[in-house]
Amino acid sequence: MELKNVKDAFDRVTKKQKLCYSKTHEVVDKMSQEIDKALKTIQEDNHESVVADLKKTFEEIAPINLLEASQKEINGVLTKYPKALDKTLNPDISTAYRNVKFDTHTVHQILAQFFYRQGMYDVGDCFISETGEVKPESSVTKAFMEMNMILEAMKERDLGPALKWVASNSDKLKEAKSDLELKLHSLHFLEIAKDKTSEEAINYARKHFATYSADSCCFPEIQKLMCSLLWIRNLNKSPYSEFLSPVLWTNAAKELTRQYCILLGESPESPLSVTVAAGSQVLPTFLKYLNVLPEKRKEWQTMEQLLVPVELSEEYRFYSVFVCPVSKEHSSEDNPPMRLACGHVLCKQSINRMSRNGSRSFKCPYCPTDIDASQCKQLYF
Amino acid sequence: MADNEGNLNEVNQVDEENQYIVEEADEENQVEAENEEAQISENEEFVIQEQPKKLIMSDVWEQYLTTAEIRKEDMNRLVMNFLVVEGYLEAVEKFQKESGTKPEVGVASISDRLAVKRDIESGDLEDAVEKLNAINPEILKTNFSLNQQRFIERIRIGVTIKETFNFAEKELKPLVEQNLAFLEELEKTMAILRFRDLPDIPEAERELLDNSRWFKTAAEVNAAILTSQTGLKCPKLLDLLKMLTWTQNQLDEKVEYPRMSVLPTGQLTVINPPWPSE
Repeated sequence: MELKNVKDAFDRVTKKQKLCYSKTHEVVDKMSQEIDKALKTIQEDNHESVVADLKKTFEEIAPINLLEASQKEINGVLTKYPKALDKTLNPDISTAYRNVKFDTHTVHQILAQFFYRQGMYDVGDCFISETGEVKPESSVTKAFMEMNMILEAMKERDLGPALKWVASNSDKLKEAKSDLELKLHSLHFLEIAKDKTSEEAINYARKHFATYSADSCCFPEIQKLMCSLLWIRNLNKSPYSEFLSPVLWTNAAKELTRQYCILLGESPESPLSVTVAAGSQVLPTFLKYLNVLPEKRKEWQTMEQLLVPVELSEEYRFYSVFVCPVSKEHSSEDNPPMRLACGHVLCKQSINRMSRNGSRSFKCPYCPTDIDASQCKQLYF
Repeated sequence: MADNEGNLNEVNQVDEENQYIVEEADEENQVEAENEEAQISENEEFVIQEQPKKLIMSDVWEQYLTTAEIRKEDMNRLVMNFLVVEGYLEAVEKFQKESGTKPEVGVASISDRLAVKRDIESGDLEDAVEKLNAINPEILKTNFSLNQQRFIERIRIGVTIKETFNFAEKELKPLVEQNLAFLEELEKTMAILRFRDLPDIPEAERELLDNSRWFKTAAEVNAAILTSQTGLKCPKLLDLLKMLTWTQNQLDEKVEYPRMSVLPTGQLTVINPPWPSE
């Protein structure tokens, strides 16, 4: 919704620009015609006053005034556009900067790993040698090279390398209960049916789909694949048009990356990309907080706990967090969650406060149970 | 500072205790409401029970029955219809001789229909198809079950993949395009193609190969032929019996009368007057 303002401002700029362009052309064309007329007159005998007449005509047209008017209009909207951009897209994120000390060694490892993952092996090697870090084991580097090679082939609709890798890791994939193998065979089946004959596709199915029994969760998918053969020449107008979707390939590539990294002992997403993605989700909240409360900027450098909720996507949550319902503070090592006798949970500081540091009993905020502070037990997630 | 926080907590506790008390009051009100509802329903039951049913004695009922005129020709046509639909060929011929009642369709038609049904039940599908095409070619083009069975038989016999697939493309696909309700069944059927031999097919998918399906298909085709010839799916007598049952259920709500409790024999329950008749 915020981007609509930016788009409106941009549209106004393009509109004025077109208008200015056409007006400028109009003025220039008119002057050009007058000059041509003057030149034509010079060809004839009477050419005494041609130059004077031309000058007079130009003064009547007053081109500079016309051009200035057009320029003034476009300058108006051009000035407003950057303001709309600034309002919506905050380019100054230095407000949220904190001078945190990172472990250099860890940062270098993260960057190097990112380069190798992306297939930038030369850059990675160069980086490693310049920073003086120990080069990662060649087995890891080669593994990422293989993975990238497989993914590149899949972009070209070539499933050969992927199927080969899946076949050699079939047992591990089954152990992980991954449907990657079926995904790839399904895509290959459809390619065969499309590029070759239905007979060859059925033979392929007899080789790779027969092992899935009717009680398997993959069975309905196999039924649809077999049935889609009847419509293979006209799939986009059939009940199975979904099989033409490029999303199937995207999902298969994602699943392959995931399983490949898991078998390698690495995380599916590189640490650097996870950090940047999570940060980009959270940054707008930080900027808004610091802009609305400028007095907090002094504390920003040393602040250990945020006073505003931060909404991170599920995939970026790596551990559980307990928030005390009484004090509304996150639990920490020196302020852990405690289970009351009645089963409800509060943080240690709240219990200390409500029980006067354990000197007397208190009522649970949730239910009418009397609580003895000495009977509260610490919880571990 | 600490004292202020303590006071706030105490105030919160008091508020929550009050909230708890209010909840208890609500529960008591609900109990009373439930009691009132129970009393209302009891009253309703009492009112219903007071309504008297009209009583009809057996002798009066017999008189009512005699007022209904049933012509012999109608009865004969009813019997003939039953014999025709059920396919009792010899009985049809003899009954025609004895009563002079003509069947709706010729004996030859009945014979053909029965032959088709017999062929399907015995698994001789191609013979059935030939005969069916002679009777009415449209039926084969609209019956999914029969064509499904033909497809499965091709797999059983060991027809080549290409020929089997072409059959599915030519015969089964158009049926599904006309009626998507068959799509799910077609998916089950096509999934069998991924096995090389029938013994490889797992137990859960063997229901498609079960012989009981032949009888179901035969019944479907038989009904289709009947419908195309007479416009009927089952004997008129069956419809009459269903109507009789429905009518008696309606009457049971308002009248006490001699009910036909045994349909095969037409036996009525007896309701006699309480005093002895002289």
